[in-house]
Amino acid sequence: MARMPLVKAEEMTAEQRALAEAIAGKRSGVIRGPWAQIIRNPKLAQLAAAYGDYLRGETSVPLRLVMIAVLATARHWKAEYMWAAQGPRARESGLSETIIEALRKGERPKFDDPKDAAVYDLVTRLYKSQAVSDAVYAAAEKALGATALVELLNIAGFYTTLAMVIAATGVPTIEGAKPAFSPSGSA
Amino acid sequence: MARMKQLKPEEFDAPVRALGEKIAVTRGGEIQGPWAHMLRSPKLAEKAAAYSDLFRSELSLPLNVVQLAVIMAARHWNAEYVWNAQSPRAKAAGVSEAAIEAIRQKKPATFTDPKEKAVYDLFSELYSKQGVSDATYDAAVKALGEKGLIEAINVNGFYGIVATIVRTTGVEPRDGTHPFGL
Repeated sequence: MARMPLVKAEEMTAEQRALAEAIAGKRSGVIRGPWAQIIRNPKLAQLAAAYGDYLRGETSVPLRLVMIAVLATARHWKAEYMWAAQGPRARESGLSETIIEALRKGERPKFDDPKDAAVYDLVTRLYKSQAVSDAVYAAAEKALGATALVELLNIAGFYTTLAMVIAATGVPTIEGAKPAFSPSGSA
Repeated sequence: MARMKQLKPEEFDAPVRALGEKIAVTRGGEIQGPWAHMLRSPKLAEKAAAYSDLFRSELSLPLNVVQLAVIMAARHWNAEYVWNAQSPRAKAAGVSEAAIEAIRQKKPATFTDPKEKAVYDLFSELYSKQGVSDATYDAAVKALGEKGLIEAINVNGFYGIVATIVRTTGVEPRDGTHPFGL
């Protein structure tokens, strides 16, 4: 359900429009989804995008592990838009259809790579119980190392922020996208 | 329990240490806690600091509402370090002691400021249901405005990141007190 209308290009100030183009240039080419809400505060959007750009492509965390965290976050929040927008990158990162399908259902995928499992367990345990066991922590630090572990927590948390924007304001999914989490697509 | 070693200022090379000192100016004066971990990834720390520095200067939301969004994140994630650092700032910004205490105890809090009430209801519901009712959404937009609602989510979400770092890596409360009894 659309609650807060996305800010449209023709409604933007010159400052917002220039910024929207910069944000969109690193993403799908058009400003959309939660970014068409965050732009309501242009300074905030600019620095959020700089931080988000770094998190989505420039940390030491391998893309495949980034995408496990992102898809698990989308699933936790049932954020249809995020799932639809991130699906192509998840496939590019090498995640199999079987893994993606399990993530969609909120089931623990059968991972072959212990690093995949470590990231999945870290993020989903945190979301579920706001804490992780010593074993989950140890596996994550072994898989990632300290630096990438801190980076991964930033990634998961930033996508959580975007998911909260999507959930609270009712950002609609991408046109034509098949609902991932509910028959109506309104979850 | 400490899990990840907190690097000390002298363990960073000079440019990163200088960055840490700059970041620390608005964060208690020294590199510590979750920011010591963030600095393991210096460019990330720099961008995270620039983004979060904005929260207290460039938002349409008043500071009491910003600080309430901060402590809601600390409480949700059971991050005692963040709570101890931020709940005095919430009080100084005007959030009532009774409300702060209720949040600490996870009891229903009451507010006279409709903006504070809106933020409290918004995040309480988001955390428990990963969504909000039409009534909660409508009240939030009415009290905070569309821009203010988006700002509140950015603040809360960012402190959620700080809090999950604290929880995951085992950053202990700075003064040794455990407000959540953990």
